[in-house]
Amino acid sequence: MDFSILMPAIAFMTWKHLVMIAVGLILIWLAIKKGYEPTLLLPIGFGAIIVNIPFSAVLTQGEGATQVIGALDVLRNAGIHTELFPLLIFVAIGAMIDFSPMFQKPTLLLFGAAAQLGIFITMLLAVAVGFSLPEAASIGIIGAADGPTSIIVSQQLAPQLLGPITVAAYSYMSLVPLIQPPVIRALTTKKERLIRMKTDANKKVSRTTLIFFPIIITILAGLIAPSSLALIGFLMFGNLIRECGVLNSLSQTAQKELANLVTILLGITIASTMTANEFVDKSTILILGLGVFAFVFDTAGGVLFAKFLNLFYKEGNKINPMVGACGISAFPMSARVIHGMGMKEDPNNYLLMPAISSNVGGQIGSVIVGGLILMLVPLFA
Amino acid sequence: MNIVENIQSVDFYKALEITGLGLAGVFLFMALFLAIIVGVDKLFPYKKEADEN
Repeated sequence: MDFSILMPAIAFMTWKHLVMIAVGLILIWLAIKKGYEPTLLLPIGFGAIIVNIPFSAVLTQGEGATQVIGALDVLRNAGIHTELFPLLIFVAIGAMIDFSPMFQKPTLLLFGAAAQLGIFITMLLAVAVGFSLPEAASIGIIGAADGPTSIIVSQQLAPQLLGPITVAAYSYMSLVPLIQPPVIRALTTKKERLIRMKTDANKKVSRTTLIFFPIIITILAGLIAPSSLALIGFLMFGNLIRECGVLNSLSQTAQKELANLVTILLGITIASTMTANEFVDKSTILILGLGVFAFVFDTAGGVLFAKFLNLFYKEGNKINPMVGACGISAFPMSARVIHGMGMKEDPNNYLLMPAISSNVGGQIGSVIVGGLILMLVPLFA
Repeated sequence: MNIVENIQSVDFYKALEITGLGLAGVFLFMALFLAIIVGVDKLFPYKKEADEN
């Protein structure tokens, strides 16, 4: 009997399949050994292995009457094409976010805007290297440092690039401790890094305020940019469940069970886009490279904006520019990194609270930019 | 890949416009949120008694 009939998976294995299986193994290694975003990189890594064995039953095989539907294709159609999984993740994230640190020094919210610079610079770079405008915008959104936003934007604007964009977004989010410090050090002086910030750590926020906040933000965002409503609405819905005080059980479920269940499904479903034919491509390497630029320019945007604001602040009220870098959405990793850098420069300089405030601003900013890109790109493309 | 040609393309100028509008938009949004935060916080200040009840 012909070997290709007896062992089709082995007979039809190509070097591209082997490369993708190796990529899967590397992602699993990064998740387990290095602890880089294990909740997503491990399912994505494992998924990359099972979709790259030729004739894998997890993907749809055959055509017409002989077609057998694969489980991952079912999940992909149900959860990614409809954007259901990332939106459910937003409900979970909303239930996890405590917006009260933002009320301690609300001006830090602006860093959530400044640190989105990398998204736009990367979009320009992507167009310069030959990507179409919708593809470039989807690549730029890696700089949102926000997995669900990256998935939703790329699913709508460039679904063919969903796999590499998602992998880049989650990988670089986990590499924030390696990417941000050198950029910050290059853009700041020792004196700036030693700036101590005044914060009212004892300031408390009323429950009414915390309840009104997600409702007002949702209405406002919806009125200005309806395309952002799916993103911001689900995020704020999760937050309202958390803050309302009468749905503690739902809030806990959203933060734990919902987040865990959807994360498992999201990770392995994303992997269904990582088939050798779609992934082993020059554009994947370019996307992974451009993703680094997105994080670098995000960091630079936040730091430089802080330096700009300091031109107007008096001595004693100045902002430590490192806090500006926390305006990205990688929460709370970025805040922890900046706090650690501050302690390294001066063991008595506690930057955690302002860093958290700025980081929460980044979570809102990334979602807003996602909505803006979804609104603007179709108008120009 | 011809970077110079791509930079002179219509898409690049469109991307520049999106960059300008996008950055302005996100700063506008965040400034509005900032105003809302300050306003709502002033409107409903924290009261120990009220929150404990």
